[in-house]
Amino acid sequence: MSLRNRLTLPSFYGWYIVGTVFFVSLVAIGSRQSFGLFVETWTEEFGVSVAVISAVSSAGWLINGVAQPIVGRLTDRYGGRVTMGMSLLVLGIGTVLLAASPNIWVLAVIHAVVISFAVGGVMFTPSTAVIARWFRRKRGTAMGIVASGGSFGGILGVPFLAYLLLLTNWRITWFAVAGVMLVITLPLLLTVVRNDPRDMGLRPDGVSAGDGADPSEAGGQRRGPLTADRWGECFRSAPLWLLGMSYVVCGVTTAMVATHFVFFATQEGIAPSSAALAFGLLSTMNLLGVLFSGWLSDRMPRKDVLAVIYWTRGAGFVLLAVLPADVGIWAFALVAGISWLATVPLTSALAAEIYGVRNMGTIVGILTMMHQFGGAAAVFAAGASYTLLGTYVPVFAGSAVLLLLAGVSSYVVRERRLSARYVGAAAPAGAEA
Amino acid sequence: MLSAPPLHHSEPTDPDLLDWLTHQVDRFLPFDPLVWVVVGGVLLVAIPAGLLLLAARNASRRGNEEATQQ
Repeated sequence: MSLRNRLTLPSFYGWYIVGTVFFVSLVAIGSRQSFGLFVETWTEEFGVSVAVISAVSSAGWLINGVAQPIVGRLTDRYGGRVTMGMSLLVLGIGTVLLAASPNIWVLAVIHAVVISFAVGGVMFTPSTAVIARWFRRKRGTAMGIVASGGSFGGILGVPFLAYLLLLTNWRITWFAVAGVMLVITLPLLLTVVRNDPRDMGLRPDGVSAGDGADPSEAGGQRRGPLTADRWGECFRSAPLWLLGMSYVVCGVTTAMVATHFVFFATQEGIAPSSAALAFGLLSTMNLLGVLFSGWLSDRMPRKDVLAVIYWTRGAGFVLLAVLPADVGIWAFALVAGISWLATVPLTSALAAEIYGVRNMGTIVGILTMMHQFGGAAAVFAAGASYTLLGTYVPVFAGSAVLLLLAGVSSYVVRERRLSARYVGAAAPAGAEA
Repeated sequence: MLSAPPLHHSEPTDPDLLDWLTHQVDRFLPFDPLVWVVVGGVLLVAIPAGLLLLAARNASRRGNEEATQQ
């Protein structure tokens, strides 16, 4: 293929939707990840302790978890464009109010309730539901790109805001964030994103006329044995529980590490900067992992890739438990980092292909809520375990066992029999395995 | 807890990591913070503007193809 052909712009409109949703994730998640930048300023300005702001942040996680099935249901009912657009509008207005907060209590309510809920409406629950309608053959790749927007948000957005904060003050910084959301991101979203390719007279990626797709089924899919007309039907089948159990373990293990990793390393005599750098390496590896796993899952059964991801993360925990800490943190960052965000596109794509795209927002929302709550519980459990035992080794070993089970739980999903990808006519190109 | 709350969907960045990164960036690329803010600002405008232009071009090309077929 010539260089000229390689540089040709994509002719399928869905890729512009992927680019737009990637940018929305970058802005929304990047701004949310920057919350930690403002702690010192707020404690000084409002005269409150770090514990108070921690409580605000904790409440925000729980509200964000509760928001997931609600925004998922709204996505299924009104479409991703409206749900994400309204959420982005509320997020932008909430950010303006945050910037103008006269005291910590107003700030707490705005952040923990308004912003945390609205962020749920622009994160992976609605965005993967939109992508599932546009992509069938390259669904994993497209969802991986969208998920990587969050990683880029952390890598690029947080330093940008740190420098802006250095030049100005926290109120101006948040006003600027709100401006980016309301003046740039919202018009982009409303202009480019369409809920369904049929709205533009197009077919989803990988769908051709007469290939057996059910015309009434979004995403160009055939109907599978478990395709649900109502989302409640999903709870009566095994795959939802298998994927849900795995996803809870995902939340448990990522949350625990995000909270305790640097503390663990410093307790082992490692400099905080080295521990933080190892955590940064983990974040970079997750960017590579999410893109690669999405691409790979378009070429082989997704449940196999998902199982390997959980087992890889489990191997990382084993390394962390058995190696000396100064080597273990680097080995963990390299091995487990690959798996960090990779579970998101695969779990979403599997849910779409087993239960259909029509109720995908609600189903992914419920799975994500389980993930978030599992994570919140694990943070406290790991802290209590450390307080009691004085070591993290049992926590790491327990995580490895849970991840082994999560991999098994994913692997036993009968994808070939239940997924729309394999049911009926020949599987989509590249998906035969 | 605040320094790194859980949930890889949207956890705040670790302040130690950010301090270290900022220090390294300042060391190897000793530009004024204003330069970083301007570069970031330009990207924040250029990326969506580029997406909008390309999507509009794609839609226009598709419209022309449909008109030609008719």
